[in-house]
Amino acid sequence: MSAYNRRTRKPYGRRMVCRFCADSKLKIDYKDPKLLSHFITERGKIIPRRISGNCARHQRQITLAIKRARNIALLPYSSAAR
Amino acid sequence: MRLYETLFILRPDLSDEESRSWIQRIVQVIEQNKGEIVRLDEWGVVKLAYTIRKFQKGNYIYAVFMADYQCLRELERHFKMLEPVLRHIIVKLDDRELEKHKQAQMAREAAAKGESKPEETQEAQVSEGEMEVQSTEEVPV
Repeated sequence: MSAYNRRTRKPYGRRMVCRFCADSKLKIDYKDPKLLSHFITERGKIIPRRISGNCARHQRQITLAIKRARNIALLPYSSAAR
Repeated sequence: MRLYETLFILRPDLSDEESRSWIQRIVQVIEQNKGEIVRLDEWGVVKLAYTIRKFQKGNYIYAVFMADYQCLRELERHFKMLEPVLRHIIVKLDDRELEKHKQAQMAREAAAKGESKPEETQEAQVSEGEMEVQSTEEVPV
């Protein structure tokens, strides 16, 4: 795992900063499917932290928000692959 | 009394009048159980992310209200019971957000009626205590 990280992260210099830590005005809200849709794949899966770059705290909030949004049909539980 | 928000979906094939009366009914449930509506927003008919009971669209209603546990239980019971409610969610909010929602409601009402209410706004700003249960205004639906 750590070897994998070192290998993938170093060459590209992937941005490591969590978007929500960088901008405190950004609120994580289950009623905001537009924002949340950045953190799900086309199939509707939640994108893992190691790819999205979120910090642990905000990833937890994102996860909760996505699940709530799914419950009230603002986001899909799954959608067909294209 | 705590601050909560709820988002529920009514079936889209109701007439304006019907859906208004269903919203009114939900509001009544809250008020009859000593709750107090702070904010009421109709998002209108929005496309659902997936079909629910064969509906592609749903009429989203968003409300912020003060209530206690008893009231929530009653509200939850009604949501489950009422047929035109496709989905619902109730979330506890930070009590400190009360003022924000009051103002949002007032701004909305002012915009709807085309008149400003300076008195009311001032009043709301004075009462910054978070658990303030002062009834400012009933919500016309």
